[in-house]
Amino acid sequence: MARRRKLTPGKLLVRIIQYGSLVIASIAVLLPLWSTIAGSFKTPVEYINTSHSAPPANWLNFDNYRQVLFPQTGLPIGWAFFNTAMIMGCAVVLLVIFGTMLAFVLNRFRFPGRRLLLGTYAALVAVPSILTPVSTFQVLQFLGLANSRWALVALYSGADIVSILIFIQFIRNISTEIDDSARIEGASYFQIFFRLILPMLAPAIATVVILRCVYIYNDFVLPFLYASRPSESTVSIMLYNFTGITNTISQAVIMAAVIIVILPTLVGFFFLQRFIYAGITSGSVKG
Amino acid sequence: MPFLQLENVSKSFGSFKALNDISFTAEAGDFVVLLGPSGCGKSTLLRLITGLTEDHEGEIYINGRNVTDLDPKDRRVAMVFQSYALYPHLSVARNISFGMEINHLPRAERDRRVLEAAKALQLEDLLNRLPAQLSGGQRQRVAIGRCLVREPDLFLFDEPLSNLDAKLRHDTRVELKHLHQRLKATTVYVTHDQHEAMTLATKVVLLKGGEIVQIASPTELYARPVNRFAATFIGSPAINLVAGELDSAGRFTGGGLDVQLPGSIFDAPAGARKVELGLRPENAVIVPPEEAQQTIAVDYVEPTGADLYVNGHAGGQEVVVRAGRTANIAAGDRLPLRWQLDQALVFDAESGRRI
Repeated sequence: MARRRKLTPGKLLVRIIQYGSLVIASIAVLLPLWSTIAGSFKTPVEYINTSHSAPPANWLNFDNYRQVLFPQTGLPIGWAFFNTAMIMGCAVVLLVIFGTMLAFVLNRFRFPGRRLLLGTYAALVAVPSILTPVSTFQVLQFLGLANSRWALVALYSGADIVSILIFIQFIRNISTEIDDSARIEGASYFQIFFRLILPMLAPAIATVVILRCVYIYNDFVLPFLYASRPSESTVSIMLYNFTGITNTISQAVIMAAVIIVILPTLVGFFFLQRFIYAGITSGSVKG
Repeated sequence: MPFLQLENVSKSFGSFKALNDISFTAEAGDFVVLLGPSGCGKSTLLRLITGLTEDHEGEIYINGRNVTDLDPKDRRVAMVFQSYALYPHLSVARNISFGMEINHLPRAERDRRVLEAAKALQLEDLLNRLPAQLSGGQRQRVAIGRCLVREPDLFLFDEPLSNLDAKLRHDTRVELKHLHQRLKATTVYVTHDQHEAMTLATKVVLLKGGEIVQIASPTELYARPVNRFAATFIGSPAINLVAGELDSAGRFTGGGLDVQLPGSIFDAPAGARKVELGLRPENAVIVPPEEAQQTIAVDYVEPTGADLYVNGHAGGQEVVVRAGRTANIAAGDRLPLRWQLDQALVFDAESGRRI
């Protein structure tokens, strides 16, 4: 048997504090999740009468889920998922096209105003977001996009400084000899971009897409301002609508809705966590 | 008309003159090496020949065509880059055929040329691999294959061996030499490595500070460098330069030497002046003390395997001489030497030009 290092009382105390604090933090995170899961299986009466942390009487009571997925009145939550997915899909495609092209141009070409352009993107971060909604709304109204999902597509597809910097960082690491070689072989700038640079940017694109999808999925403010009609609403808005206007809906049903909203992100996280970690570090360390 | 001709080519970046009045020619089948220390403009010159760098003075002709105003793709040149510039997301086969795809060559023709190049470069088994799965030497062969299939007039190489380790560098150099002898393709090759220049070139263009120092065959460059820079840049260890005086009769004194130089080593009649006597390390012979022209005090000995390089000093100046690997020499010894003066080079101390 391997000899173990002796544990002094001082070290033991440190261990207890370390693990104790972690256990407390874990409970703080997991308890709400537990009570949500438990609540989603309770009947409305049971939900009011039992403690939040108590397990449901019947783990197979799917009535709440049925109400969320197939409501008698109003739109099913699937509709909100469709809206969110559509907005996400359009916005992310546009973002990748705009962002990568912009990064390509900023990194590979030297032209007057190049630094100014990048600087403007960076400076926009400094503008407090509380200042812009009114004018943004007016612009979108002028474009005839206000009060529709397309307003959200337009707003989400704009490349932000973080995405651009991630793309620029990756493009910078692609040797310009690749471009030169392709030019000698007869490729145009568009061919160089679409056939060589864009495929080589795949890791950066994955990073940006994940970050942006997480943001779009979680965002509440923009959908609330621009797409509050039920037929236009995103997942976050539909969840909000369950709580707000109609008090007739049981809290237990809301719990079921919350679980349904969490599930896709959870599944997504398990499949994509490698990219998410990579994305966050590349954004913070290199970007 | 020569196959490749540069006429009075100059290039400035802002106020910095990168290349000044470069003219040289190469015949079909030549292997021209642009040699020089880093920053001498050799890579810029190569980029001007490809057309990747624009806006220069002078004219460039390739295979009888004036290509000065043509885009890179229309110059019928192919280039192997320092990093090889392989497309990392494409297989070896797709890497080689990329240019042909861009130019809409029929599929059958593309496949035929890829196979032909793969056969010539022993890449047949690697066609489905990605560049990341290849060794340095294999990557270079792919880069060369990409050039071959384009059937260019002119092959260009930009320091292609600088990323390889010493052993592979030697092997690849030999491979390049074989390839050139087989294909007889006219080639322009940039390097700062004198070994590569000496072994590969049929013609060396030695550059310094954006200007041509000398154009010569490797052997001529070694034996008859035009000036001190050319003499010191070629040769390893570098040539010994002994400062001293030359009198009108051709007698040299300095650095512990007092010798009569043979008239045959002078290009022009030399008057009395301050000079530097250039003596290659291999031109020294160790002799009995009574026959010595010079005795050096040995500081240290560098064995290279085949030879010993003996570093010492005489008359306040450092001297390196080559000795056989069996010679029994140690630091602190006094070594009597005799120089093969018919191989000596004499440089004007002020201008550095060879006399």
